[in-house]
Amino acid sequence: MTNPVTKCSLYALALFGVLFSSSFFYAQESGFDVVFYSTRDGAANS
Amino acid sequence: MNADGSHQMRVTNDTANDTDPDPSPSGNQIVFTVRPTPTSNTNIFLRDQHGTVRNLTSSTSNNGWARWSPDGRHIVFESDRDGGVYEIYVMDLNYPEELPRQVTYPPTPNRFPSWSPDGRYIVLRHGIDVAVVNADGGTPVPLTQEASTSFAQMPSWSPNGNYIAFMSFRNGYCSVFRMDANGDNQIELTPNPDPAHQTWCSRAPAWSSEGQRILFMSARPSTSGQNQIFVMRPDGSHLHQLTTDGGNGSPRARLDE
Repeated sequence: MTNPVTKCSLYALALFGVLFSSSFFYAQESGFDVVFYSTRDGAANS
Repeated sequence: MNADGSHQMRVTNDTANDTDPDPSPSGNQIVFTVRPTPTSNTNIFLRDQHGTVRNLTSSTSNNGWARWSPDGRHIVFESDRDGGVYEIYVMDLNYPEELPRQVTYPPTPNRFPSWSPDGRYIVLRHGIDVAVVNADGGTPVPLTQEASTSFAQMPSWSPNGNYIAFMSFRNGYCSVFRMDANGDNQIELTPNPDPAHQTWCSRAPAWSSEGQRILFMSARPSTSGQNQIFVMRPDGSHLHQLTTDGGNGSPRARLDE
């Protein structure tokens, strides 16, 4: 179900600094990284 | 995050299909699933802190959904290496030459493993239910009671050990749920507001390191059917979309060191 047939690469979100100035994150959670796969480099969605 | 999608960086850059990443507890290594071509099998690769990538399974079978143990020494994963259904295995990163230890056994398929925060248990999909099994092996104990038309999978244990987030199809579409670690108090966090008229799929939940947020992937009308990554509080409130560029999925979070 999670194995796309199109090209995916891995990306990371650097959730710190300005990203955590948004009110939806608690301050103590600043410094997280989120990793995920993405088709943004030219392939269709999985 | 910034609304323009900035502060996102590419981690892998190869010709294969790279999916389902999991960062190490120290945050400086990543394990992930690699499918070199659309018709080839999958293996688990590790990207270390220097950017060097190596194959951990090197198998002709399918291997995937790798998850670091809380102490960073082991990797639990699913594999059909015995030629039958998917089962759960654990490899010891200190002894990579040894065969992975089998945790579950046929005939029931077991997939999508994830560790308890103390490393003593593994929560997984067992048949059509989410279940828990001793990390040393044994018979999985179901935590959900899905109807034959449904299934539950992709469980993720909260950092404090109190809750398990998972995906279920029990309402006719895939949606993220949360339950107590013993299976009690199952609640839907991502209900489809119009199930009769719109497609909706929310899945692959993952907790933030402090347990204050749940990340997940979702395809819904507002994303034009594309999978995108969302974050919400553990009660389903304060929903926010994190990605917009392409299709995005299988989020996992760790502290950045």
